[in-house]
Amino acid sequence: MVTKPSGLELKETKLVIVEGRSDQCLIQHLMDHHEISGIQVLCPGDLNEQFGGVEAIVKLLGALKLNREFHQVQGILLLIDADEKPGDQFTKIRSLLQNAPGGWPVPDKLGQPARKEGIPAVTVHLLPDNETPGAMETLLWNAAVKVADRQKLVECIETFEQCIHAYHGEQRHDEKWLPQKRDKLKFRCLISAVNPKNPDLPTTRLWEGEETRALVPLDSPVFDSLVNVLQGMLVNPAKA
Amino acid sequence: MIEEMHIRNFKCFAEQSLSGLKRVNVIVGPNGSGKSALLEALFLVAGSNPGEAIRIKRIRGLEIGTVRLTKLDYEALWRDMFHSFDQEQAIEISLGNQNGMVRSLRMAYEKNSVVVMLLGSHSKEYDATAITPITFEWRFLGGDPIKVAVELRPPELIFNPPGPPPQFPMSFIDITPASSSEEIASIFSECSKRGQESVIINALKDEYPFLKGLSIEITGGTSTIFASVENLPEKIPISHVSSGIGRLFTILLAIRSRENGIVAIDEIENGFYYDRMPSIWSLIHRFAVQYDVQIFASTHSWECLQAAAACAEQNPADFALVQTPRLGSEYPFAVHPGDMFALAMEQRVEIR
Repeated sequence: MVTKPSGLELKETKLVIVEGRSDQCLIQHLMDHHEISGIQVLCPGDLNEQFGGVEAIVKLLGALKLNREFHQVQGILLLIDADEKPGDQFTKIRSLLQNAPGGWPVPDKLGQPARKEGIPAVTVHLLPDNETPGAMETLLWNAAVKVADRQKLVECIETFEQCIHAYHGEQRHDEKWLPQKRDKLKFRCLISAVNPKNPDLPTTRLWEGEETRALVPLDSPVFDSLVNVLQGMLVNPAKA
Repeated sequence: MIEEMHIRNFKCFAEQSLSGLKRVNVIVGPNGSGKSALLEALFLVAGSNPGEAIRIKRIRGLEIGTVRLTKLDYEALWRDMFHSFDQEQAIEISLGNQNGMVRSLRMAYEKNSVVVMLLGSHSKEYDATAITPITFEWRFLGGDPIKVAVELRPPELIFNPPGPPPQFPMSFIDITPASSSEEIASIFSECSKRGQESVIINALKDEYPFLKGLSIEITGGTSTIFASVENLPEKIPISHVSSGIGRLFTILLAIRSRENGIVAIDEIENGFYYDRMPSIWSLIHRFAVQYDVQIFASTHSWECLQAAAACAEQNPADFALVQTPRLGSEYPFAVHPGDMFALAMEQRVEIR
């Protein structure tokens, strides 16, 4: 196994922690596009070995406390997929924070910071938003379908979704298609369909090239709410 | 086992306390942040002789030549041990555990005990300035304090009376060999006389299978550890086989010969190929547990930390990560339990 000769450094006083590399890329490109700086986006694990999920985020939180620059961190925003039921997801996050080593503050409500003396404020937001089931890919799909001349393709993908019984609530091979998984499927289909040069293009590379950058326009109003949350962190890190 | 340590007015530490120390303590921090100074403080308090202070200077490459009988020369021997060179304040180092203070050392100039040089009794390079002798005062749990003054009788330093018996047998393994090959051979010989050498030889052979055996040989009138190596017709000095093997031998020998004591290792990764680090940490941990030795090891190496963390994950109660204070600040040492150390390394968070 190839390992990096050094570890994750903390470079900013405001941190956004997301579940994986794809989420990290979206938030970073979104910030770059909207000229938001002063926030560091982190995800559990490293480039070589990706750990995912809410559990991994809480692990990373505990680990960050051992970094020498942690004392300078003022606010932490956790951006987590809402999954099937946003309320249940928030309950799970609260429980994990309560039981995590380090005595983290536990938010009472989504979008509201929790504070504790000597520890950065912690705020939780869900993706696509705090009320809707889904994931980061739900946001990406919603932004991508609004691009002009793509309606026919979107209809095709939605027909395909019906054909394979992937719409939410149907059973396929005894496995329920959860909303977040369904949106990942649809978004994957869309990326592949419009990118014949590289149907495998990973989400992490979506905004790297000129040809693929327009797939998901970062100035889409779909992202407005998320951008507001990030900009709010800069004004007051405890009010992410 | 030492669980707490307090240091005052020593080198870069104005006042520092550490608690939560474990069987194996991995020390990290930038250059100049006090990793080596922490090991030196341990060496001094666990030691039994003011000569340990001179030995530290030698370990650090400062040879002590002839000390002239002047106040300046005498105080220059100790001056850099005092925080900000403040020799008006005493150096205090103490070790403790859940039962309280176990051992402490106080180094200070004994102002009521002035040594006056006799005029005319020495050559003109000596001055007549009164020299205040420095004293080393050790205190022990349940024992009477012992105070040792360092007298200067050129060209020698005389310790009066000799220091107390060491409560913690202690070895300090520096980046460069701290002990002469003769001294190491002598320690190995003592182990061998007691039939304790085979455990070291077998551990080395397990780690480096091409090594076939160790023995003490005389070359140029000096005792040296020699190694039998596969496909070599003659034995060669162990340090010629590889610096890593020589260093691992020194570490294992130190642990084996300092039962119930302390072994401090500066820059432990030095000389080891990176892929040996996991098994070397396992071996050091196994030896430390088996012989009830406490390890204090500093490192700069990420690979070394990864290997140590893997061992800590398996034995979290035996490990602690010690972070030196941030540079230029009065922040305290941070001591993290083994499970948090392992977690941070699993998440690839920079902790050095």
